[in-house]
Amino acid sequence: MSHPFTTVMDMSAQRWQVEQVLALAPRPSSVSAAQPLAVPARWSSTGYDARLVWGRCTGTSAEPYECAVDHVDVAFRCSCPSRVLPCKHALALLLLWAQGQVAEGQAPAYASSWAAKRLATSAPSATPQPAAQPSPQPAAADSAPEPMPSLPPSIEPGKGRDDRIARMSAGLADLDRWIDDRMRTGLADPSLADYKTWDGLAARLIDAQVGGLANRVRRLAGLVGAHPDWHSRVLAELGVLHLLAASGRHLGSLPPGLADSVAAAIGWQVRQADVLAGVPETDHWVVMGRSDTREDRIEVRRIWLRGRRSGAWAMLLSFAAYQQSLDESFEVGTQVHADVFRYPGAVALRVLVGVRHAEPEPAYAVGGSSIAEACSQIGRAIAAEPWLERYPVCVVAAPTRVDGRWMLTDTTGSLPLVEGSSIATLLACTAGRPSTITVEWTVAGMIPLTVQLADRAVDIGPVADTSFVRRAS
Amino acid sequence: MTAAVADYWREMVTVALLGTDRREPPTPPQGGLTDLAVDDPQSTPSQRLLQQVAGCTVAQRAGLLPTERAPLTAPPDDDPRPVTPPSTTATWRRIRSDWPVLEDEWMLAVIHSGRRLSPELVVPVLARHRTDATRHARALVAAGSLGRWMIEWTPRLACTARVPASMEAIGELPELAIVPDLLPVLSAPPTRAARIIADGLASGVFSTSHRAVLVNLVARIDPASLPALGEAIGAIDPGAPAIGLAFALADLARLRDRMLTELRTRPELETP
Repeated sequence: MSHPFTTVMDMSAQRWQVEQVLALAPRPSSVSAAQPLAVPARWSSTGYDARLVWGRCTGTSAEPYECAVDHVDVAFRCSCPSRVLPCKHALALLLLWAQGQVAEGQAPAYASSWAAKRLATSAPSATPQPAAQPSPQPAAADSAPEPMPSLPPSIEPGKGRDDRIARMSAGLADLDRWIDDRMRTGLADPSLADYKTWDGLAARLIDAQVGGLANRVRRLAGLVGAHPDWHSRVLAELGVLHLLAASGRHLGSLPPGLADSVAAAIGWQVRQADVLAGVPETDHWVVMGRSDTREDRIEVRRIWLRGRRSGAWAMLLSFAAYQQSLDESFEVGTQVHADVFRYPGAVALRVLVGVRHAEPEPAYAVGGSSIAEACSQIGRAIAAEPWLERYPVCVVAAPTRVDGRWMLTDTTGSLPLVEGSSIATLLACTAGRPSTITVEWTVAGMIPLTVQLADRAVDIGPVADTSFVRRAS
Repeated sequence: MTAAVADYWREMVTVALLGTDRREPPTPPQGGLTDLAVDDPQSTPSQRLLQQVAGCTVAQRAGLLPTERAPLTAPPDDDPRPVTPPSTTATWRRIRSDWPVLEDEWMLAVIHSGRRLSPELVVPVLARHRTDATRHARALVAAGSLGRWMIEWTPRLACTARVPASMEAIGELPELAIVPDLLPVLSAPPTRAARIIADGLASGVFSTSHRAVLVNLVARIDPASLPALGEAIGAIDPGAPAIGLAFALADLARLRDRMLTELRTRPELETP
């Protein structure tokens, strides 16, 4: 398995993922503007090849806008009057392509001549220049000049890669400086209650191509004022962000698995082809749970699998922008005999599914552990990857109410549940008796995902907003 | 978390609130956090605080421990009725989203079949009907002791209607508006009833303006007519003007037939 640094910039043979497209947006409003356009009805003469994606978008003018994107060197060309790069048409075209709704084809003249001109001149300005470049943050008086991140020896630096690493390094330094300033001036600063404070930081992190950290910052913004104890929670998350920012600047000195985890957490993408080139784990994978969450402007679905033979956990991710569909091919309570390929990392939960050796079948006799053993499993995972935000466990326990809070309890102890509508269904399915339950650990508590009944599993995990995503046909 | 670490964390939160420009970070308690400070000394108070916050957060999360065991809640009284088969859950969800006109008949069919609601349906059904006394009461009969127990624990599932339901209304299928000319279709022999509706759609006698009344008709037609009705409507020429309506009515007929078939078999006759 190659290191993310060696693979992330070479995406020529690979369709992008939705999250990669959204990370290019110069500002959140660009995504909102692009999403309604990311439907085939708004486009004609679309196509893609090994370098370009192109299409004509029907807009407000009489003539459709001609749009082309170089998905290898990442550059944009659109005949619309917008001065924002990438414009909403380019983002919409990329979203359409990422969703597999653009067919392979021969580039039209407007796209191929633009690409040829760019290649001939190799202009440095071909790299994306966000319209709203943030002003540089004033450096703290006592801060030392920032060293470039150490690179693993396997990297063959190229200009694009060097540029990206420099941007990333600056972004991580900016983040750490920002957190340091918050520590100096205090969390009681009223500006923290203003979402713009956090959004500005998140936008700068996206510009620096560390989108994973931008997502964490946006989630962190939602904690401010949300709970009487919010200062404590925000402080803890700032500590984790500091840990990631510091680790991200010393990737080369970290053990390989940990370096991969840090790289993934800060936003490096690993090519699917590289993941699929790894060693497969063949097993009967039981679909233990499903969890949908909205992250900024995309819906994220986590499918939790567990190997019947190995007992190992694995996570499948799927993403949907507005009016797109999430993966519905894995049904909770079934099992699939298949090969899975793990993304690199210390805990390495995320997988891709390769060959499926048989049709899905009902999964019976799913075993669960005690609450104490579940705590050990979670602890081991966090010790390996301290910035983990979710981890699945399957327990045999009963829901009960203690001092106004719902808990899962057994003879070894109790763990708190996150308040939400699925607790009522959990209660109805268990009738308050010990049952086999799959839950997702989060910092806020356990989120119930699945209850195992005598004859089937009931999926009670958080469900995506049906007005945002479309059901797969 | 030990008491010393908990106190240390509280002190760090206080310093973080005020800012290290105003107050120095606290000294870590003896143990791993002190070792961290010694092994990797930081030059400024804010950096020292951040280092300790990160270390303490990771230690707390990785050292997750359960709180003491809690007493279990008393379970609901036993309900000897078997639960509805799993396929009915999917059918109810379809009815709710596409053909709510069938909801009353579905609930009565559950009750008459001698079954109780599958537990995953108890919450959505009670929540859905909490403003309608008759439907809520019917749902409580179908949910049995589990339904009453759930309301004790989740008061938002209780009925909010001010007028109580009458016993008669709970047990009866409500009447739907059907024009007098079509009333004979309700009791016509199965193939005859199916033919009247299918011919009306094919010839243009029934158009989309008749949708509401035709939906009511199919929702109340003799169940024996449903297979023939689905077949007859499915055979209508795709070029017929009311083909969209025909498809919708065929879907309603098939769903109603499936719903009644699923709940028709008496539980005592089912093989384990």
